[in-house]
Amino acid sequence: MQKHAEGSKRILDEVFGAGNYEVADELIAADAQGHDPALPQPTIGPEGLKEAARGYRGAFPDLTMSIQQVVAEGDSVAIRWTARGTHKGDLFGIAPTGKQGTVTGITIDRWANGKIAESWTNWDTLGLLQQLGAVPAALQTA
Amino acid sequence: MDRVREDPVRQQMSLAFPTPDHMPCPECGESLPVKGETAHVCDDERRLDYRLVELRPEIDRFDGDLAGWLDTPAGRFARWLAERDRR
Repeated sequence: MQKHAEGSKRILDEVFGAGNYEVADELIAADAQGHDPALPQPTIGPEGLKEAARGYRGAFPDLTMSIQQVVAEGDSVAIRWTARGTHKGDLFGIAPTGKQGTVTGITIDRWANGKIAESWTNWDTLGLLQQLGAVPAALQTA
Repeated sequence: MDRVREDPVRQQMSLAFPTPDHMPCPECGESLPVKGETAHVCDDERRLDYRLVELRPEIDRFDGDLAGWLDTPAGRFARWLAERDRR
């Protein structure tokens, strides 16, 4: 279980947080599905995850991930995290704003045969869009 | 804010669009906690980067206008004159 937790943390820290994409080859199963509500369809395998990470890091080249909590149970690992980065590339059709965004999220990984077989992430997409000025924040509706 | 309190539709919108925990500093773009207690001082380099990104469309428009002008007779003459003076 500890090994699974370490592996799940490495995906966030190293792939998304540092751009070491080859770590995905080591830890993601070839047919793994990754569910991220901000993406139009699930990512498939290590290449799908790398593409998603490249997309986020392309928009936020200085992206950092900090992990607040890890819960491991059976074949699953849940991680509560915070991401921070400066918007310097296109994201969801939004041109770079230069604004720094901070969002929280939770990722749950299911492990099988030593690799992540499926992953579900929910993160504060609305909060990021508000921070980038693409969606009004509540205080601005007045 | 008074308009929000008076208008039930706006009240619902406020509930539906919660304020994020962090918002960018309007001067430098740095992500700051909305309920932060620490005083924020803008970093000069970050503020400059932020201003450049904000001005990007204007800079691009200027570049386009300049390129267009340089292709006019007056622009071509100005380029020729500048080139001659450079030598």
